[in-house]
Amino acid sequence: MFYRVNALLLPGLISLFAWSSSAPAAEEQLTFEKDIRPIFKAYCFHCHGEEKELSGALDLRLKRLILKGGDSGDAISPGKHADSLLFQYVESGDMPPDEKLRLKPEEVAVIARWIDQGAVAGPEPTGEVKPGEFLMTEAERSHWAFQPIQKAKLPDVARLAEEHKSETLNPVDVFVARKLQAKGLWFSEEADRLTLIRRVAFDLTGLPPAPEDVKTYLSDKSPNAYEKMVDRLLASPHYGERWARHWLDVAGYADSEGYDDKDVIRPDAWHYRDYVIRALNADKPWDQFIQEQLAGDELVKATHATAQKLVDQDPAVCDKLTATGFLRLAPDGTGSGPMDPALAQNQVITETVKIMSSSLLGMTVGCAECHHHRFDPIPQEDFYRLRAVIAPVYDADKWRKPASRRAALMSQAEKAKVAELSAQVKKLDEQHNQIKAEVTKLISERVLKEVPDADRERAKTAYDTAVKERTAEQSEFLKKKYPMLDLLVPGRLHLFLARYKDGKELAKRYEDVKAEADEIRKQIPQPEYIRVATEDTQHLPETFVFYRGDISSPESEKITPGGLTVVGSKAENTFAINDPALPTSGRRLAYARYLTSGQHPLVARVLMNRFWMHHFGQAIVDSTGDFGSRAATPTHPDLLDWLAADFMEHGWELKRIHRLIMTSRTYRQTSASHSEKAMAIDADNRLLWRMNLRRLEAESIRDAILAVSGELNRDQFGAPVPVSLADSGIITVGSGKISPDRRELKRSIYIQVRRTQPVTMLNAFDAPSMEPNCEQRVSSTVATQSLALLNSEFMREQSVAFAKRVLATAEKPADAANLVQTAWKLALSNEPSSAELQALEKHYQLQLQEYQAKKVKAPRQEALTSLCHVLFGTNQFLYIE
Amino acid sequence: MFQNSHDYSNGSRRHFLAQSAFGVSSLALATLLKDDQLLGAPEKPPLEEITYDLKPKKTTHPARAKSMISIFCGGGPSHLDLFDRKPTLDEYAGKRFPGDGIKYDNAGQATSIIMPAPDTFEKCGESGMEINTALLPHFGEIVDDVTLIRSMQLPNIRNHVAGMRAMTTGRGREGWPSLGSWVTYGLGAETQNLPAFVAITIPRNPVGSPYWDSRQLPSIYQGTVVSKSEPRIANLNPISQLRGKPQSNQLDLLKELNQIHLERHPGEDDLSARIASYELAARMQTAATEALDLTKETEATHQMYGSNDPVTKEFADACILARRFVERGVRFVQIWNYAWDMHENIFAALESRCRSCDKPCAALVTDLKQRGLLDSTMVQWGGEMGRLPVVQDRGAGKKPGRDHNTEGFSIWMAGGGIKEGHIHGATDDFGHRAVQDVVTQHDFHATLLHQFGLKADELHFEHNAQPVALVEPGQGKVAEGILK
Repeated sequence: MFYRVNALLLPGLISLFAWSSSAPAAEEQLTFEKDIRPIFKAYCFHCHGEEKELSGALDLRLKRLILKGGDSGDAISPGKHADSLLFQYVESGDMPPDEKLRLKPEEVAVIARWIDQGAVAGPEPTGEVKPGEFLMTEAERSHWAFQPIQKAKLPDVARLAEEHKSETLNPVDVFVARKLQAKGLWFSEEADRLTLIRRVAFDLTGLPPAPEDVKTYLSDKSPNAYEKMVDRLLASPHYGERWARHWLDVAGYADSEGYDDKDVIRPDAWHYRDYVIRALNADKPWDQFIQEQLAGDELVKATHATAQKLVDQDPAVCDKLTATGFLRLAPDGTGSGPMDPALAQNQVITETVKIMSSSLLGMTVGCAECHHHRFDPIPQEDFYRLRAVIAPVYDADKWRKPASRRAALMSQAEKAKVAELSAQVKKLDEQHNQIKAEVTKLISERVLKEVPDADRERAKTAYDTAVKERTAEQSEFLKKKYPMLDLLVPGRLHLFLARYKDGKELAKRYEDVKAEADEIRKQIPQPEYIRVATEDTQHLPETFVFYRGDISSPESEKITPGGLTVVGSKAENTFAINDPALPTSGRRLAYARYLTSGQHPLVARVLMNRFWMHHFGQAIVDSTGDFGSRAATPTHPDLLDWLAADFMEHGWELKRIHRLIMTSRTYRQTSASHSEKAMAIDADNRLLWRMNLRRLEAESIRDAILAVSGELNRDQFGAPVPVSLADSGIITVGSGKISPDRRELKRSIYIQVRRTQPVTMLNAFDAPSMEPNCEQRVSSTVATQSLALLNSEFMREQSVAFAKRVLATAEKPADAANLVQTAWKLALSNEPSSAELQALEKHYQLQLQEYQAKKVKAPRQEALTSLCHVLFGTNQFLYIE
Repeated sequence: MFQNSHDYSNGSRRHFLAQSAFGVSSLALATLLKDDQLLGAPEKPPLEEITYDLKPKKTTHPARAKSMISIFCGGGPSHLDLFDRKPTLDEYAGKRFPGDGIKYDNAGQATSIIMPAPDTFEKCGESGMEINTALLPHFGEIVDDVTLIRSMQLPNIRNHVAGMRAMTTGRGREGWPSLGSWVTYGLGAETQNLPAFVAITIPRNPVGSPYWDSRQLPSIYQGTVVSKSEPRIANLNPISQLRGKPQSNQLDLLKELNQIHLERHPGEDDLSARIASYELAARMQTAATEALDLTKETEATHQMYGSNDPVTKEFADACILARRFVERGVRFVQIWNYAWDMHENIFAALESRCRSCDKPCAALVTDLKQRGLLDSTMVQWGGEMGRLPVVQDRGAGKKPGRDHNTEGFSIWMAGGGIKEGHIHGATDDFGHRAVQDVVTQHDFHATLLHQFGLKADELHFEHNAQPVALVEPGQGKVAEGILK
């Protein structure tokens, strides 16, 4: 048995340039397009065709160009592979010159056979083909993911129809059943009610079901009890928190700017997080949700100049502007004094393009920043077409740092106070500057005294000349001979004062004024801000392809905003440079409308594929962020398309899709089914003959522990809960103490996401690092997780709280059996089996003896705490059946 | 390899998670714990693909080094006063620096007056390596075991944080996996009972974000911090209420409950992997506690490192610990000492710093050599920058210091196939800028990886379907000159 690995996650040493080939039968006719071009594209085009400079004057992109040969003569002699230079080069390994790029023997063999068969090619484009131009083949365009989404007719699966008789069949089941039946497999039985409510609760809310909810569901004898339970959980305010987390992963949400070690905190990003939670709770249609995030400002006709005014006038506008926070999630180091501001700015733009494309298009467009995509039909220009879409927001010519890309939320009274105090501060600041200038002058006189007589006059004249007005000779003179004078300006005055005995007294002269100003400054009401993406209307930047991604090497041709060229045609998805009907350029709104028109082949598929993954633990297309030529083959392509089409037809409502999926027989299967036959045919359960067992995600583990211990603070929304770094290297929520508002006990989605300080407990369980976003999480099993579960402070605190809750809840707190049973039920919703109960009781007794012998203060409570602690670490707690 | 991803009859992400799992997959575990007979299952065929786990990995060429101890002296030890004697500085003492291009970090205190180094340099050993023996007498005794690189340079980097980041992640920008993470990702671990990558801090964490972070790589490649005070390793030991019997009772119960659960889900590899991971955690507690126990060392060893002397104790303990970790199969140990930023009173500061670390660091090399570990262990000593040849003046009454210099500085390396008694590269006459055989951080990293049997151009992983590498293709070249 071979263990196969998903291409997307595979970190293999040579995974960069892999190529998919299936050895064709010997007599099969090979063609250039189907068999040879993909090999050449992966290994050769970079130098032989897709750059403006042709290496060795050889172009391999078309058969007729190959036949022209290059500097070394003919590349191939059709019919005779051994005589063909190209074959000799790739066989010997002389080509490609890069050692890590070696054709596989089977690829070399395919080339030989193709030459021997006469080097056959299909119809090729006529006319001149310039080196560097991107040629897209029909085969590439016909890749399944670029085809229109089709809602197939539901297949007839007789067995399913028979089993469900009068009931309406769930389309999900029909597609799944057809695949199962084709392999001689069938569904497993339905899971029991306790398993189902736990599964649904974690799926929809990320929390275990509350005991009352379990009771309601178990006692509901109506035939649609399950559907009602799903509806209740869909209506839970916690639903938005759970599903927002999924979206925030792909959007790359963080509460800090990243980029450098300052990792400046973003105090205002959380409004966007709350917007996402609210949107999901309200079941905001996803077409609207996407439009608001890409172009909320354009929807309300806000510009950089008018945004603040509009926010002040109309709170509804605020929501739309908050949504544009999506475009502001990439790391942004431009506000923290980067070494190279132009590079830092460019980084913001390119990372934003990457987030936009991996979240909504499921294509690795980022590869095309520097060159044509190696595998997919994405010319370099495509990256810059997307870049042009957001260029008016991120205008490199008129760059705005994060602090000037926000809008304040403030009342009229507060504003008046701000104006009054600001005026006072301004006055004091002026006074401060004046005194400081005087002291600087004084110091300069002292420094000048130290200058030898011969130079003094010259130095004084140079120094007294304002820095900008100094002649080259003056600056050079100061810089070389008297660098201290060169550097003495009010801004650096404090560094000089330390040299003088009366330095402190001199400093006091201006510092006192500053202290007074600062005192008032502190009283100025600080507004909350929302991070927004807005456009300056005075200036429209032009976009060019950067040669090899280098910002100092723009190409000459202007790039128009648009979508991927492989999807549809440029005529359909190229947008106006400037929409006269809008105060802004209208580029993003056009793009957002194009994506959500219902015609785009990728958007709905990509979204639906992720929704599915969050329900089943595996996606229909495994590579959720890569639907290109290297993408995994969909396990149920018709189902994916059917759902995507249905989603769009019915107003892009996600809750409806949840309901559809979760009420299916497929979803309601047990995960504990085992069948030798099924294992032999489909050990990985790709066909869904049972439900998958899934480990809880990091946030759900923490939230579930808090929910069970009774400590969970269910308050929603608001500023992020700060994290802190201890000497031991552990990063914790809060700083050790619980605040009076108990914010440290809020759900994990409200914890500050500091790029440089991932919370240790969450990080251990694979909470993602936002660099810049995470389009698919991993799920690991490592000893550090076990150590955290066994020994961390957090686990201790929660076990203590849980034990107290058990003591308070148990009907017979004096009865050991009742205590451990109560604990089990609170943690896991169900009843322990007799074997489990026995093990629990035994543990309780053992620990009780232990603690009694040690004469600890409350041995019973301590023993119960130990038991509660263990429950949190069991697989039954950590995995969803 | 990739054709498999197109074939779903067998392969899948789920399988990947379960089988090639990060760290303690059933497969990895079956191989790892085979000797211990913890799992009775027969060994499965080895994976060809490299995966996110800590199994020992195949190298691309024979490795010269198996492990590394990096003594990171953050802040910028003055190469001019320790390792790189420049007679020109004596000649120009008190005169103006005639060249240009000095970039001051601290402009208000900048002067252009040349400050010579102490005149206590001597040629040492058979190699005749010239170093400041008044400050580094013990280092003087091991020069024949080391290569001194006098031509380090960090292009476009000025300050400490960016410099330390460059030295540990290759980039000045925040957000990339650290060197130790890369090495453990590329090579796996020699032992599963201890963390593969350990960071020992004396006495405080360096400024900036943790330099042992695995970032986009899974957290199994994260450096485990060993701090000076208890708890020395976070989450290693049970809280007092659970120490001893109570925790072993807990582990028994966990195992029993998980076993019952597993019976309901036979063949779920992740569940058995988690059961095993608790056993591993328990063994890690024992193994790490043992490794941290310095009372096991002989008196002679303590003498040799200087752990009996309060001046050298911190460094001595860290160095002995580093050796104990490497002996027990830890792949990468980094000792962090952010205490070398000497803007004023540099000569007194250097003396005090050197006194605390010279003896232990030299002892580490000698000890590793005596134990036959030096051949397979690379030791590296140095920081993220050197210092300027000119005076930094903090004003009246303040003794002079030197400002930052990333244009040229020195580090030394020993063991793991690195040349012995060798000097590599040179700075200009003023010791300001590396001019001969320049070694950038990328070259440094490429060289380390080369010694580990890995190719810098090949080592990478994919993040959001795009390659991430420590050394980007073509960026760094192996410093062949320092290799045996």
